[in-house]
Amino acid sequence: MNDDLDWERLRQVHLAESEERLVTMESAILDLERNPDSEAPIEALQRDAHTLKGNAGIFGFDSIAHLAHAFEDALAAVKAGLRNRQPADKEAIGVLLKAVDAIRSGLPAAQPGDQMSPAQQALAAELRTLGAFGSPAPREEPARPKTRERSKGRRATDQIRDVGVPLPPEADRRRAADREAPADDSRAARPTLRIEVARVDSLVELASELSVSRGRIENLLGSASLPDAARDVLEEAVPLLSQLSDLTMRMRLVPLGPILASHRRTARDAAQTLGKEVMLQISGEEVEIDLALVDRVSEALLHLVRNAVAHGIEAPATRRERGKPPIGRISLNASPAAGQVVIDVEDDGGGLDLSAIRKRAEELGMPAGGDDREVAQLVFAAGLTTATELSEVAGRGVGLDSVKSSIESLAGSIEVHSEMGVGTLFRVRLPLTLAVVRGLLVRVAQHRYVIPIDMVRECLATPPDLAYQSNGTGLLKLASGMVPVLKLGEQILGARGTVDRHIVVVEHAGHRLGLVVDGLIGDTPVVVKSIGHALRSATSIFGAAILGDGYVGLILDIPDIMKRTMALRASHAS
Amino acid sequence: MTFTRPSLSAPAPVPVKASTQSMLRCQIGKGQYLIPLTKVLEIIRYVTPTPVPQTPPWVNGVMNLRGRVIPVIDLAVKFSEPPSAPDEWTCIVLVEVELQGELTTLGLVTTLVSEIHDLQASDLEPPPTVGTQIRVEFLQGLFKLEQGFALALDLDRVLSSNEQVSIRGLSSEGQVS
Repeated sequence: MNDDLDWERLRQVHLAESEERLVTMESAILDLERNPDSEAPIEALQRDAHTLKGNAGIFGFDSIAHLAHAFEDALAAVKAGLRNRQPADKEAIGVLLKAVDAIRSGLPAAQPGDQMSPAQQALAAELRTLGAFGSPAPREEPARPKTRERSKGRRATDQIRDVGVPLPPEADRRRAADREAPADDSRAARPTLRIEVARVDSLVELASELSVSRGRIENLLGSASLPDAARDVLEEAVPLLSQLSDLTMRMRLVPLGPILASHRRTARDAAQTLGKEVMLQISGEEVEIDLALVDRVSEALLHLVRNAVAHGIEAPATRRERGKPPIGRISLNASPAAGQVVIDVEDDGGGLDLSAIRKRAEELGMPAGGDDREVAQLVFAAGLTTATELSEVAGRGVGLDSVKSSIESLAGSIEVHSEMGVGTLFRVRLPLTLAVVRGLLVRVAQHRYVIPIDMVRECLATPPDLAYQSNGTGLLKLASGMVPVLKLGEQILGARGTVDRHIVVVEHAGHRLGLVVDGLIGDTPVVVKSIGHALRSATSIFGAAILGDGYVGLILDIPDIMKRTMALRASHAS
Repeated sequence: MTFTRPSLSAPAPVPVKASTQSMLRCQIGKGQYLIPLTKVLEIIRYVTPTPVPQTPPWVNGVMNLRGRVIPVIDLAVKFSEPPSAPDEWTCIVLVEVELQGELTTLGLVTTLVSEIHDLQASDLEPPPTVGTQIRVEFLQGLFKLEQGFALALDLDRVLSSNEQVSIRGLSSEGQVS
């Protein structure tokens, strides 16, 4: 009765698993491209291809099984070539990548007992050709300049080895492998379980309801009238409940590794289109992020990596003139920071041309004053592109501003640092999770609001001599400089009768703002809930949180409030 | 073999008469309204919602429904009447409506929940189309009570619209279609 359902479910699991495998395989192929005489990536590929073939066989997807089989033949040939001192060449790499693409696009449509499509047949033939005639006459000097650069380095070590200097022969390569190989091996050993996201989400919902109950139990424990037996039980339950919700929240976190790794392909494809040479280095694969953020993060990285290849990295000839290695280097580095994940996309290219940006901004009538750091941030302004020619890869002027707004909609931030001729660094900061935020609870009039604590720099009592303008803003003198302040209740929340006793100084994307509130309550982890699309007109609100006593507290959208403050101050000044 | 789950918003599966529709009658502001029972999830005691900045005036705020955050709407304001003043009889009727193609749960502030009427199509009088300021598209029809009329609402339409409307035809600046 349920055969259809089970079949469909199995098939979905199979698809998801295969996609992960294909990403790993792409990484291995790119490893091979970088180390064309290393057998390790080929062996990993052989294992993966074999599993793919086996799984396709179980489902009876003959088209995929045949493709995977041809892929295995090709791998065997490349490996045999290596043993004959013939490194894997560009053509072979290209065909292998094409095969991965074909398997990826073929899988969703595969049917039991199906035949290869003409395109798949052609590709299988191409793969077999690699197998049958894939050992062209050994070439002393590979034809392509790019391979020459690499083999030069290799020959140097070979020579050293020949004269018997006891240098660790593969030290260089091993270091490279440490940096670049996906950290799969360490994870592979741990057993994992695939769970539907919807189930985890309902668990998270439940856990957040439980945390409300926990708050009520804690209140109850504070009252004296509780019988001892009940008190014992409840006291035992409270820490268990908080552990349970912590663990549940963590179930949504996934490692960034596969996402980062998938962009090695992005870099390679973009570089090939533009006739550049690029190497993408990855670190921080183990850093975890909320599943809900994965797609958007990956999309942002896609833009940033393409942008780095197209506008950062110079053409090989230019690089040589500038005394840089002809292969451009882009690094993708993830690291954890208190409650946040920082992802750096850094290239060693030409850097931003600040004078061109300034000029372009002036032409567009944008304010282009400020120091170099501020001018650099103008690359995120809509419509500002300084690239002289538009390429297919990036540079229509829609890229970076949409990246910025996408990241900000995830409560993150992005900034750019650049040095002319040395390179550019895009730094993306994202909350570890959208599901849970550590918040500072404040009171304005009779309501409570949550300020994400990552953004809070300091809290102080409102100085008695603080003067406000008629628009509710003012300037606060701190040891570190002047900070604009805003009467939060009056200007943003529409509250009346505020007493404005405290100031919470928040910082976002290099700007600071003092929020004037009535009271500080304390810090607390909250589960972020959407206020729903029915209230999509609401501004300055990032979401809602159910507080310990069941009250709904709104979570403030600090970047939006900063924007509004700036607008208020600008309109006042003019 | 596959099963199709009956849609929750479908009419009752075994109608007594082909066209019977159960409607919940309640008072919102000063007016009497009928809400299709198929849209009603539950009725709870009034709780003060958390106000949300920059929302239309008829949005009272959001409330906590067993861990879910639900918008609370005061239809009295939407219909250009004074806002509901909560007292011990005030309830929130939780309804499920379709907004921009998505099923959404909303809470409606009601001054008083009265009774359920099983109505046939013939019990409803068509809303007058000429000479009044009633927005016809928000109504399924009028139901005659002992005193006056109850307005049978088309909730999906009422709640999807972004304007304040004068549904009772009493306000002089009502929006005439």
